[in-house]
Parts: sequence; C-alpha cells; structure tokens
Amino acid sequence: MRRLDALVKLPKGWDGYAGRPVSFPTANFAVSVLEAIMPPGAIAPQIVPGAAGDLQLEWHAPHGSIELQIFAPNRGTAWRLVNGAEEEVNVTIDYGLVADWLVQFMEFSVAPGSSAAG
Amino acid sequence: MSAELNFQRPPLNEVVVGVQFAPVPRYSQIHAGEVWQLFRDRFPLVEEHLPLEPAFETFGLPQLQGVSIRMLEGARHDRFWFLTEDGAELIQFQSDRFLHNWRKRETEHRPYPRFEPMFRDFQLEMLALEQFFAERFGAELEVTQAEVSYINRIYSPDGRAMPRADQWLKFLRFGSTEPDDYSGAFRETIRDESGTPIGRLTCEVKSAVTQSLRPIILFTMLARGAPSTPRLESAFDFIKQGREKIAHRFDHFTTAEAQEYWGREA
Repeated sequence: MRRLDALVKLPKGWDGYAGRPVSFPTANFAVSVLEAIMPPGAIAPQIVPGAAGDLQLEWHAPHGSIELQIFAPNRGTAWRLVNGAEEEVNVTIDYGLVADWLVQFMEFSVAPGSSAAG
Repeated sequence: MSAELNFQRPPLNEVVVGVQFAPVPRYSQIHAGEVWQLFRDRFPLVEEHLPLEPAFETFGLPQLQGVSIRMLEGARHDRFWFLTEDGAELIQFQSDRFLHNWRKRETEHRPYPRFEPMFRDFQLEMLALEQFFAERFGAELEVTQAEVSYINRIYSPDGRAMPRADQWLKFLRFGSTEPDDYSGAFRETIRDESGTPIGRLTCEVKSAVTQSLRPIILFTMLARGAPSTPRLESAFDFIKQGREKIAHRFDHFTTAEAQEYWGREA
C-alpha cells in the first residue's frame, strides 16, 4: 500500500521525461484487483509505474512470470510466461483467469520442480 | 420497483442512482460552484461532506466480506450535496462521483415519486454535467462504475416492537428466540447475456432504530458494476438492469405476508 501511495504522489516528469504519476483511480482499481486475485499467503507483486499514469503488477520466479498491466479502471492486459510458453489476454473487471494463474504460480513457488497444476 | 412489483405502501426509505467516473483533467474543486449553477434552480441548498472512496467491483477468487484495503491519500475534492428545499431529493457531487438520492422524510408524507421520473431527472442531470465538462474542459465523461440502491426500512405494524425477521424476510430465521440485534450481508454476481460478470448485487440486513427511536429492520440492496462501455448510455443501461435485479430479488426475499401488508398491486 505504501508503494502504491508513493506512486500516486510521484512528481510529473518523474522518469526524466513527461512521466505522469499513477492516477488515483487506477491505483484504487489496482487495490481492488489485488483483493480479488491474491490467494492467502500470496507473494506480493512488484509494482512498477508506467509513464502514462498506468501501472504494472509483476510476479517473477525462475519457473515463470506474470505481468498485469492496468491502464485505467476496467482496462488492462495480463501476460504470463510459464515453461517457455507465453499467454496474453485483455482484462476488464473479471480477473478469474489471472487468479488461476497466480494460484498455479504459487504452487510452483512452494514446490519447485513439481508440475503445474491443471 | 418494477412494472411487475409495485406497492401502495412500499417500505422504501431511500433510492440512489449514480455513476463513478474518471476525474476530468484540469477540473478542480474551485469549479464545483459552476457545477452547482447547473442544478441550483431545483437544488438551492448546499452541504459539504467527506468524499466517498473509489469503489470497484472486480472478480477473481471468492472474496471474504469486509476484507478490504484502503489507500492513503492526499488532498481530495469534498463531496457536495445539492438539496431541494424540502431535502427529499439531493445530488451528491465530487470529482469522480455523481449520485441522485430520493429520501423519505419522517416528518412528511410525500410519496416515493417512482423510479422512472427520478431516473429521467438523473439522466438529464448527467447529460448536463457531461456537456459542462465538454464545453469547459474539452473532456468526455468516462464512466467506470454505475450503481443503484434501494434502502428499505421495515417496521412492525404497531411501529413500536422490533419486527420479527422471519415474518418479513424469507432468508432470516432465528427460530423461537430472536436476538437482541443482528447484522449481515450477502452478495450475488450480476452477469451479462454471455455469462460474464459485470457487477454485483450486495444486500445488507441489520436491526436498527430510527432517529425517533422506532425499531426497524434495515434492508439495503445495492447493484453496482462496470457498464459495457465508459459512455453514459451504457451506464444508464446498467442502472436499469441493476434495478430490475433488485426488484426481482426483493420479490424473492420478502414474504407473501409482508408484501400483502405493503399493499402489493396485482
């Protein structure tokens, strides 16, 4: 939460160019998404600001990655890399698929070397 | 309620329709007076309140009620109430919200004006606001959520005793002994024709007392979600759909005895 709060308060041009702070609605929407998709004990994502007021939530591990880019409330993309295979979908308010990805990602993280669930 | 569900004496105490939208670039609180001018003739009174938090319905894993994270924040736009002379209707406006409320006043007997006229007023108000943002800031209104709520106060026939829950609500049965007080909530996903989640119906029920100390069951039904597009037309469609959902579930949740008492019309 402190991280998101800090990103909302970034100064204009924070990236040395014309980067805008993460918008307050986008940050709040990201919180709502995290509430919807984070299973108990989930690894906290890295939160990366975008230059256009957007933000990216990222989970990385040796076995794969998940990246969730939120452009604005109700508008984003989700991408994952697992076992060398990539998958990308557009997302609005239904993050059920991303939640499944995250559960699988956690299972890998807890039991390295085991096969992916599902 | 819907065309199929009308009551002569509905337990309705308050109806709210509204939208949440992306803050308009360059708009700031200094312009709120200009917004009031759009509605001042009908809503001459003003009050200031703390802003409502942004609220989004999102879907993923099954969620636990009441577990939510709130963001820290800096300076924020107040929430202004623009009220009619009698206080029965009001507009709530802040930089990312616009809501229209009708409230039953305990001291007056003005009946609920029915949904359609109230909704028509709300639509005209939203179009006026959209035009204001377009002309003043060159910005389009981008709706992120739309909502409609019905807040019901259920009184016992004598108005003095706490209403017995199972006589009014089918889902609330305590058996032979009613508790001193209670509160609870339940939610249901609202889906579009393809089965995709678009919002939620949230119902809250609790025992309470009015300002005049009359015991009641407070039964609130809120339908909120993302319209199919960010445009106002889609928000209006969502509200109509949400209201139909509320009417259908109200019919389902309340007992035949209660509906007869409220004067259900055939």
